[in-house]
Amino acid sequence: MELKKYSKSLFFGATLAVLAGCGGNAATQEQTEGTTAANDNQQVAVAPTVTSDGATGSGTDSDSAVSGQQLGADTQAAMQDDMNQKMAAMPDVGTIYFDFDQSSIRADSREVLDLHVAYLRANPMAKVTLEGHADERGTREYNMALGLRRGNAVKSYFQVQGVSASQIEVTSYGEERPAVIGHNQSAWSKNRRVEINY
Amino acid sequence: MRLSRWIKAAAILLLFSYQQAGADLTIEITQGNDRATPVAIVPFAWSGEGVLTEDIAQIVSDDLERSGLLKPLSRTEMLSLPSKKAEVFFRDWSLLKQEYLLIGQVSQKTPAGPLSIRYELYDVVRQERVLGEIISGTSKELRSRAHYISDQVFEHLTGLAGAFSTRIAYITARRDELKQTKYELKISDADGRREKTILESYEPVLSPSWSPDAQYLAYVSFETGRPGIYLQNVFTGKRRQLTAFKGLNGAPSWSPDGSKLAVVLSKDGNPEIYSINLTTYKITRLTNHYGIDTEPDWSPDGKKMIFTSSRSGGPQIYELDLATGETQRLTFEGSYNARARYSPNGSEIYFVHQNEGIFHIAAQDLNGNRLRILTQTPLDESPSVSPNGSMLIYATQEGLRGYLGAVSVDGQVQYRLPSQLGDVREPAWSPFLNK
Amino acid sequence: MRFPLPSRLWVLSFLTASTVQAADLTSQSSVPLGTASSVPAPVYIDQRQGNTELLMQVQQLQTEMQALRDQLEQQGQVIRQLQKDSRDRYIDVDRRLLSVSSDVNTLKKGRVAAPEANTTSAGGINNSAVSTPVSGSAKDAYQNAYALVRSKQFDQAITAYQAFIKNYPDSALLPNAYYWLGELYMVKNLTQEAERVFNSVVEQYPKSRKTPDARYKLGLVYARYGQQDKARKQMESVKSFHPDSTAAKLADQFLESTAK
Repeated sequence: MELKKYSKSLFFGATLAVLAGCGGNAATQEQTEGTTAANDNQQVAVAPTVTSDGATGSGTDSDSAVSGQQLGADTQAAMQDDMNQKMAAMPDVGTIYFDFDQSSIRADSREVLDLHVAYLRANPMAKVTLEGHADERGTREYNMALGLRRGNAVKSYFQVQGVSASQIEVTSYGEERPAVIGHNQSAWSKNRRVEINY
Repeated sequence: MRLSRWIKAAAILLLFSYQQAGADLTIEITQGNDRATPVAIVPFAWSGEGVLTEDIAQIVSDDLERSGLLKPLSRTEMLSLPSKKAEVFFRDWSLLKQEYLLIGQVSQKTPAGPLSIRYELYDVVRQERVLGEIISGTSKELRSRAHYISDQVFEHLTGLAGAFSTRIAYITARRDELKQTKYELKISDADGRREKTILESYEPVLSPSWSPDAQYLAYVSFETGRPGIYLQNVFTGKRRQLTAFKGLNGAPSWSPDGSKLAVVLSKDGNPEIYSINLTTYKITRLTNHYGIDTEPDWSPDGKKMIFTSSRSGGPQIYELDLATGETQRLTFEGSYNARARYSPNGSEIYFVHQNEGIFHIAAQDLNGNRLRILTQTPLDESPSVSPNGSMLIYATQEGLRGYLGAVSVDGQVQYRLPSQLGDVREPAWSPFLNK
Repeated sequence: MRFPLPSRLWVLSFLTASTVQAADLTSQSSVPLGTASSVPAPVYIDQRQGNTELLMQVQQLQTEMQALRDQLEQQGQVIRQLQKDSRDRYIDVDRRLLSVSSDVNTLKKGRVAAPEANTTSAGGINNSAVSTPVSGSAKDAYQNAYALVRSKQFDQAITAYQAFIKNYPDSALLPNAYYWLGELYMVKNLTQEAERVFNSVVEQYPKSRKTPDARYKLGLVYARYGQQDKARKQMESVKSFHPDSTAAKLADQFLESTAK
């Protein structure tokens, strides 16, 4: 009977642990919702900074290389500092969005993803979890698979840019964990997403 | 790290307590068949001490009414309440335009002793007994016995096997005071009564699937933080985790002979369908495409499998011939057709069909390829067929709340089982229990 | 490719910055870049960028492949449907030819027995549906409605037939329109509507070519109501009223498949 009592209290303890754990989850959930809402503004604010860097991220070919050559030494040094800061900093924007029933990376997500690539390459020990989600429409298991494919799309994007596969884990919650609750287009568009979590 | 293993093992709240949690599901009939056969079901007489806990005639009457094919007479219209043939005046019943009459009696010789239940079905026109039996049971088994009587009467009058003694499994999700979503896997009788919770978790639980002997449920649970497929005996509560692959572990579906389980895994990168032999645990990959392949269902003869695939862009239903490996597309109407289930005779499939942005349950026969839309509500999901093939149960939403709806496969009869609390989703109708 | 550690970090910082500084790069001449080009470094950056472009292209190609597959499968389905339709049409024509030739035979025999019979037109004797001429516009309207049925635009087809019935109440094609309307109601699960129109075919146009079919369909209507006995009786009546019709064969099949 001793044992039984012990296991009972353990069970209770575990229950508390779970509750506590879940409480934590719920808090992060709300936080993410908060940041998600804020992201929109940030994205607007971030975008010009990136483009002002000229060659950063999406600067592609030899044109920018040439312009790099032509830059004065001061500017170069300043830029280098900027780069270093970028590398060290974890990107602010942790969520990218998708179109209905699509898992293709949208062109407007590439800037954000490039920042994550820079961070992950600068921090090879950093691990990232890509959590795919879908909106509530359609069937649950299909959405589960869709969430995974969205995560996989981001993973491929990271990998071809040189991020090691061992740094990346992909999971999917399908339609089970909406960021925004509601049966309308605006809620749905916020729920079709991949959350990039470190 | 023994401790962490302990915590992990206890980190879900498993309920094996089988007390009745009160009836969470009540039935409202929303659309009936106006050509149903009228049948009078007279309250059963009771000879014994005290009062009976269940009203057998009422249970039978509710069962038969839900089928839509029979129309029980309201008790208030009855002119007499016979319980044996000598008390029956057929003219009264034909005056009430009844075609059939069910009477019966429950008796108990010694207090707490076994109950004896006699029921008799009469053809009012021909004035003769067409069915009758004496069965026994305990007072706890009264509901089961009543469903048994419903099955017998239904089969006699319609020629279809009754599915009133079957059960349904479903998942409820509800936000508690701490704003966490609590998932519960529940089982009830086909009429929504005698509900039991067999699993509780604060992580998602989904995709319950019955074994063909109706003893086990396979389902997906995120209780470890990742999805895994679990098998649980619904009578003993004993369960085990079958899969814990990296990535997806989902959409379990039992083969008709119970020897294999089709699942969706992404262990090789992309969501694909695999078959797991439940004796040898050998895993066979069944699909290979860079699109999504998911939601498998075995044909009743076990030779084919339907599944949802996005290989042509949006989700469509495909059929795989397991012997030849050939795949054929089945659905062509609309840009979203998913989660299909075969009818018990394999001649039709039922699935989720999007039409002008609205998700309905649709049926399509496999020869004529004609698609029929069966439900009118938006966001309808997860059709599951009754084992006699006459009804479908599905999940739908009203406002922000989910409930279960049922519709006959011809679309004529509809009823709903609204939950009193939270969201009800993913109903799965059990196979026949005594096969 | 292996770089000495410091230069590796160097390259790394370049890669992440993705800015090219050609002067610095040439100073790192010990690095085995694997290219003698005077514009050396962008190879790495380009490779990475190139990979990304390739990935995006693969993504796009996959989407396009899926769309093509969709088209191909749709077309395959249309072809299958057309094959079935043309087979059905052939069988239908064949059936009609057979009945015409048997009529002709009857006529020939009739001519031998009673020479005055040859003044009567074949149509008159045949009791066929085409007893009154069909006007061009009515025929067109009917064909249009029928085309909608073929292309499975059921709702539009229903509207078209309803309009046809309203606009051409005297057309010889009226029973056919009623019949098809019934079929469409069956598809849309409006069983009671279907019953109504099938009944009007049977009652108002007992000699129409569609009557046997409408009778048979009424049987299916009853079956859909779950009235198995009534359905079987109806099927028996199809057989007794129209013993040589296709409907009778179908009725037979129904009776066999529902036999206890």
